[in-house]
Amino acid sequence: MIEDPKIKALLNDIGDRDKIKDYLLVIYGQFNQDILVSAVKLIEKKLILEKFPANVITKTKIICTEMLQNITKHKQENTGVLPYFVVGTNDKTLNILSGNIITEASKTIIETKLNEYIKINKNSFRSYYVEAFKNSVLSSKGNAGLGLLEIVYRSNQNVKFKMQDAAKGYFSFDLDVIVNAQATGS
Amino acid sequence: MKDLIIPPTDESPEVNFKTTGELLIKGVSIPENVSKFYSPVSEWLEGFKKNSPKTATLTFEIEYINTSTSRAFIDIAKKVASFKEVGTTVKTIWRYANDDDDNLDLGKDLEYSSKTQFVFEAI
Repeated sequence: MIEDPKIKALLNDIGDRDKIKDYLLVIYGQFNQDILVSAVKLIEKKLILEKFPANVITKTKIICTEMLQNITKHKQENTGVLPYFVVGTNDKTLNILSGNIITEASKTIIETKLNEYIKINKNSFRSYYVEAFKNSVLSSKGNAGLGLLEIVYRSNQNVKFKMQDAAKGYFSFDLDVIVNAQATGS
Repeated sequence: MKDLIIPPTDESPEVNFKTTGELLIKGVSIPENVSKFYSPVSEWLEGFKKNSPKTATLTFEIEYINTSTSRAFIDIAKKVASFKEVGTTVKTIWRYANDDDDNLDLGKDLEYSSKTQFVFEAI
């Protein structure tokens, strides 16, 4: 039984939005690297228990890692709004959802990158992806949108997002990623 | 020169680089600071190249990785491929579970991005 009104409202909203039947993992609150590692291990165990195919599990772990890293990197604790990360299923899909607060500067970058990646022709996406990695440089400061590219690529562009005003200079960023639970290839 | 042995953790892989030329990276790789983790790996490879080894077999046996690790793996694969310049016979193997096409695709993407040649082994 869920008593926290914020979590209850969040799950109702997500359930309506993506027709989630079963929730495999719900995290609401503070995020860091330790929680990221634990969350991915937990979701792996849940997917094995639910007998998802190995390739779907690998794909989901990669996507979850990138989404959780985005939340951890972009957290804005001073806004008082806490991020969430949810993995659920309906009959045919795995739905991975996240929400966090981002700055106006991040909003512009994320919005531009996601719109660009979503519009890439499916047939040429793989060459776009490998070229982007070929031309990238390993940096401790960030990966210039490669995480977002990874999410869009691994989900076969099944990505939706929403950004709304949250506070002065800050925006809420909701990201919904859908993975075909019966897929046998990417 | 000594072998480079780094034990696995929940967020980083086992690294088992032997001076005999067997170079294994195995497990999960999602460290928060990928540059920091792979810096000693890269330095060890540079030192090893100076020894002009006869053979070098780089084996990736990976569960899942983050994007920064992909970038690090591209650099490692390129570095090992460059051993050919000193006369080393080089081989890079990507091991994947037989029923895991996404892991196979991950290896193929890294092969293309690194412009090197991988041998794919289903296990």
